[in-house]
Amino acid sequence: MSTQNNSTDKSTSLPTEQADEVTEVQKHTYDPSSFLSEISGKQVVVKITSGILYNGFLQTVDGYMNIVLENTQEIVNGEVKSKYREVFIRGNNVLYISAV
Amino acid sequence: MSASIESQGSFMTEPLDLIRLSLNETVYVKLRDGRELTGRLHAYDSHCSMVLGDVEETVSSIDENDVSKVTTKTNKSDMLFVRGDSVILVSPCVPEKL
Amino acid sequence: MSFFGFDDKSTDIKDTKEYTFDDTYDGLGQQLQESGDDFNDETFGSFAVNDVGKDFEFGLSSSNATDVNNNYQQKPQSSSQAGMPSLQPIASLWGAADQAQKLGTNEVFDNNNFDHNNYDRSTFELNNSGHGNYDPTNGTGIPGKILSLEEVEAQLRAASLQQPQFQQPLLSMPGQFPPHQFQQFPPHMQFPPLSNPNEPNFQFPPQMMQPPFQQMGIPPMPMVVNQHSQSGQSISQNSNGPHAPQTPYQLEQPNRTPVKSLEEIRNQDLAMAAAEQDKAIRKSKKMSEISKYNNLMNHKDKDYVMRMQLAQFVTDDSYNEDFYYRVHTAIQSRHNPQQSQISNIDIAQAYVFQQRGNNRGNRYRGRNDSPLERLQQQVQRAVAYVKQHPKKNLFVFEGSLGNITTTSGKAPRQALKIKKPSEGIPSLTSGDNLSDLLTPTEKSSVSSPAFQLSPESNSSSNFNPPSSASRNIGNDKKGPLYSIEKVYSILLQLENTERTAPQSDPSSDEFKEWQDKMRSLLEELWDALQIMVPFDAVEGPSQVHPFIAMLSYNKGMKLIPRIFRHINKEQRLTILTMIVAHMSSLEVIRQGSYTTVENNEQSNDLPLRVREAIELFSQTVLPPLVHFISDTSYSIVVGLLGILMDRNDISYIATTKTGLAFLTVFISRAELISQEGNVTQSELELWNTTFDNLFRSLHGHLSSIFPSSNNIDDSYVWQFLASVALAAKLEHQRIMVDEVRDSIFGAMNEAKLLSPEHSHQKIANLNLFLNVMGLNATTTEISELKINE
Repeated sequence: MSTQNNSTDKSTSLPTEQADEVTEVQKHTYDPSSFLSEISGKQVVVKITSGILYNGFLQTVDGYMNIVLENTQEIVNGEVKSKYREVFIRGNNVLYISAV
Repeated sequence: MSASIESQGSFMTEPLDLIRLSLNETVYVKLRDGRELTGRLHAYDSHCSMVLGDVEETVSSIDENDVSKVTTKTNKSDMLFVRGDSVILVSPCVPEKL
Repeated sequence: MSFFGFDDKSTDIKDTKEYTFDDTYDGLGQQLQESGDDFNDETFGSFAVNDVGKDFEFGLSSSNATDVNNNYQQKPQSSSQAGMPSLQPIASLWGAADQAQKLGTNEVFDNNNFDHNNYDRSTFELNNSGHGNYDPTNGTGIPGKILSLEEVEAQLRAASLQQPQFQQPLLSMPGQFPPHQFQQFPPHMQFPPLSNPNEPNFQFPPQMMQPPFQQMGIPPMPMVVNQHSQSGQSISQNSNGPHAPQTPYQLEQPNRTPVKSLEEIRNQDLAMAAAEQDKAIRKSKKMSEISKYNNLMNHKDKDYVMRMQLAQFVTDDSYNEDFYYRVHTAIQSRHNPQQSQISNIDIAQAYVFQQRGNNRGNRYRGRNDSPLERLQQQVQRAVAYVKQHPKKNLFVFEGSLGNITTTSGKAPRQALKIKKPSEGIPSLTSGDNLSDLLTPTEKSSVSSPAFQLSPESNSSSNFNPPSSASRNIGNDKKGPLYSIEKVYSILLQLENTERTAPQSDPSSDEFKEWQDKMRSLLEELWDALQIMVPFDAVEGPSQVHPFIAMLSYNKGMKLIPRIFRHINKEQRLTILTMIVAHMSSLEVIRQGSYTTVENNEQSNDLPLRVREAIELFSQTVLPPLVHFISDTSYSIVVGLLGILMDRNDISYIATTKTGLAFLTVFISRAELISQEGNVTQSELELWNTTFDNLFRSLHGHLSSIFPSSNNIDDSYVWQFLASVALAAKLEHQRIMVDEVRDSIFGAMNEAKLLSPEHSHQKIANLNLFLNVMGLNATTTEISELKINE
């Protein structure tokens, strides 16, 4: 939604030659965005600012770091406290996402 | 527009879709400061601001002296607006507490 | 100028005729702002109106004004009459016109809630006391009202102290008071408006220092008058001149103060003191009421809400984006049908005029400073600004986390741009593909709101439901939810398009374009319903057709009546056939049977959730279907009943409220047409066979169609039995009575125990069925039933 409509991506705002350069560089770099797009569908652990961990299968993530996990365990102080079939985590709370 | 509908790729295109699918359904919302809401989702926006109906709010607070002591209080409300920035997570179904 | 008895012919005015009242009167009196009385009491105290007003009566008319002038013994009676025309321009020069103009732009005046009417009567009487002749223009000279109560009071006190010294010299030597005393004048003397800091509040022009006679004398007046005539009635221009308004003003001052007696001043003081007390009480009361809500929101919250509200203004389609409010009004209007036509504008107007109402502004609706208009202008300006300065939301460097973003209510700050794994090209999302074709400016204008606070997202392109192929991946609960959202997206577009139908004639291109759009949206809608998906193609353990699965959700059910408005007869029949054929898979049927209740519920009733769903189904889905059935032909009704029996287990369906409702409708409709007699023999035979089949399926199950608990309203069961009995032959009826005999007696026994009202209802329900067979029941006797039988 917003990702598609509101972003002005760099390749279009730059002159064409430069844009090509950028794409060229991208092929060889490993950046956060490509990491996030790679791990979708895989099992991940998400830590939020309160320290609570969420262990589940990453369904989607967007540019705001909003995350949807499936079959998720909520881990507080190392203990599994609750289980969610599906959960949306608001991006501003996210500390990190790590692939398991 | 027709094309964009038909040519959709992944199952879930973005996280907020999960919330959209929950419109008019009961959702569980976890807020900061140990607050939890369960209610019917009437509306939401990109900030996760939400309007919930028939809400039950559970406030959990930890006793100052004894950390293991947790007191909970519940409030009910016909309708409320949740400001997005206090939202931690939203789930389409009430979680299974262990 | 004859104000002080001097012959105005001695002045060098060229043409005195020009300065008669009618000629020079510029109509400012009509612009008098006479509204805002409401808070007068608060401001002046209740005394102000009653007591003070009378005390200062003398200032009101020109004849009374002679009281004042009589104090000046050397002034002839004629002064007041002659003074009138010449003072007219003077009054205007005092800034009256200026004020009238300023009122238009200066919020202070609007929000003051001052009552200009009472102002005239109380405070202004003080004014008038000195120069009652030009009452009308004086009314517009409101600048005094900017003064706070305290200021007014302080000045009045000062004036009262000065009074003795003041009056004495005045009576004897009117022209000769020391200049410094002018500084103590009451508020109305502070002429140049406070809002205009460039003009000193109280400046003594050189004339003041001149001998008194000259002060009052001839030279200044003609000068003013001349200026007035030369500037061609341009009043505001005059008042801009720093000395022009001052000159006549100073001339007035000597007359003004002496008018007040000490007693009057004391009265005034008392009134003011009371007013202050009263005001303090009111204020504290008001404060305590307001403070209830103190600190409920912090400043940030308020900003946030304000931003959200403003963001809603900047929309091209408030209809779609304010869905929540729309629904709210729809619900409200259902409760209160008379107010069904409330629109956004009405609300806004009500709000704004409520504020205005405080000063009864209706009398001066012509004024162009109504808060509503100002609000509209502000919003227009805001919208124009946004349009002129398209947002550059995001400056992103591929793969980096640090972005420079600007945010808005509809597009919050995005931290990262995620590539869609499903897309081959890593850096482009589908939206970017579109934006590649546009210049940056176009792009930003294209950028649509990310998501509104409503389910009515403005286009379905914002919402990508899963393809049927990918649906197998996830849990199949989400499939129907996606379908529902997709249908809503299209439906909303369709409804929106419908609203924006061009007014032009049907042959115009514009209209044809619109028609095409409607048609394509309708096709899309039909596709989105997935109703034509063959049942064989349905996968997954639940084995529910995607269309039927949508009806498992409340929001899905609510779609049906809205869709029925748009689709044609064939499509309606398709939907009806689909529902009939797959009735057993409907959630309201699957979970709605009372036969399974005992096992899972102690209360002997269906779970609340299911009961609500059944209720909603009968309120949303059934009415359009029933309407369609009641309009359709005999063969279709019989055919549908046939399909229902072929594809479903009738004995089970009959145990549900929804199922019985369908059966009742079909049977009674078919029977009604049969009795009308417009049917062929073959059709009638088909109906008879169908009914026989139906009855055979029901045979032996009739007792189980009743709800599991006596507390549940079973009128729908009796209705069903009545419709069956109506169509049934005599032997059928006998079987029916036999099977439900227990229920009949049960109902009668129960009715005995109920309150008369409920009892009557229960018996009436029972008799729905019995009357069809020529029977009648009362609460009293079983024998009575037998007698009738």
